[in-house]
Amino acid sequence: MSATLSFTLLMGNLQQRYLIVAFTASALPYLLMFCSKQYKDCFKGLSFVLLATVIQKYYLYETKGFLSFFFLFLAMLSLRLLPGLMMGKYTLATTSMSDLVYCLKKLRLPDQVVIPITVMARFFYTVKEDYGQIKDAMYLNGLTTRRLLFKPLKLFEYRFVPLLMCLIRTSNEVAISAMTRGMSIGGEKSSISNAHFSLIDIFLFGLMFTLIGFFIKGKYA
Amino acid sequence: MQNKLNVKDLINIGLFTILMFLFIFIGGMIGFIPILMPIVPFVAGFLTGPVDMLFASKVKKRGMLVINQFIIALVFVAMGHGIWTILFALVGALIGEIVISRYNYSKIKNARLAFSLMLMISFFGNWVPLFFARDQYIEQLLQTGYGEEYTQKLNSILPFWSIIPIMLLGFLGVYLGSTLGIKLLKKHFVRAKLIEV
Repeated sequence: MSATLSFTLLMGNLQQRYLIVAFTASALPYLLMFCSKQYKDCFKGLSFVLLATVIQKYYLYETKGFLSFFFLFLAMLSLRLLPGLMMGKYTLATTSMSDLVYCLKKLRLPDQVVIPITVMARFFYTVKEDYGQIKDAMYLNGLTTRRLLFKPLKLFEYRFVPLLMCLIRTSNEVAISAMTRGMSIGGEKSSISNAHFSLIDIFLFGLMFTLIGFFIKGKYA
Repeated sequence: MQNKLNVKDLINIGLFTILMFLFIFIGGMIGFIPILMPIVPFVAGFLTGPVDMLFASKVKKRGMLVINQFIIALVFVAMGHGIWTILFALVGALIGEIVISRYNYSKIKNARLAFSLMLMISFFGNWVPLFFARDQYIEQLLQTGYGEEYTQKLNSILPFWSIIPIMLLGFLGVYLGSTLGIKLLKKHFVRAKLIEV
């Protein structure tokens, strides 16, 4: 029954699959971001989408060769990947971890899937930060990317191995903190969040279903 | 204690899932240039090799591969790859589990073989629509905005018989990457006493 609760948080990513060449579909994440006061991202994204639509309509079928690949890359990226990624970013930015865990557990997903998913969200930023720090540290030692560009194996070794060591240590600490907090498999968890369906969710659901309808119509009509 | 996943393992699985996904994605980015599309499994597999070996040496419980592949498959489905991805990922993960659980998870060369088989099948799952529902896939590509030229190039580079070499290349890629990974492990991590092989 309460199985569909979590879709209110995760459904943004579904949107990406249903891509008809419709401008509004791409613009939706940005409107949402506007609502949550992330103006800079919103405007940057909207301008990208505009540019990509224009390129796709007028230039894509006419240019050939290298330019076509470049335009293709840009248009593809903006129209296909970017809305979904932006939606995901919005989801990550506005969804607190406790909400997400609560909803995933309500979905009755097994613990073995819920815990890695929540841990992944946490590690995503850790990986980015650590990688930046390792690059800086290597720079201090003279092992910049530019110098190592022609020795890919060494580049790999000097970036990747420190990153992994760092991550292993981080994961040990995360595990210890999780066990200290009493996280265990199959345990009953209390939660601060009180996520439930509301009117806006029903409205957004309706929007999604319309999108799905368009998609099906476009494929089979 | 020996065979049930506990929280520490699940956290490690989450970490390695995201690393594997990252490297597969980087490998997949090369596929934007149609000529390089056939070697995408090779490159992606090669990049994930070291990560896989570290994964296999850190977590040694039943079910680790299934969770791993399931989450990666979910992310791929969310990115638009089609529902067969999940099916093939689960099949590959089961085969990988069977292979890796012999010798009680302790031999790393066994792990290398397991990952190679598993990733070969999972990568194939990403490509199923291309090979088995070719016309529909081309339609979909054209509709979502890939140009005419890209689609035709893709069509000509990937005839039906090329599926076997591509899968084999995927296997080879993971195998070589894992060999490199084992060497890296022995050289760095064992000395730092972070893991034991």
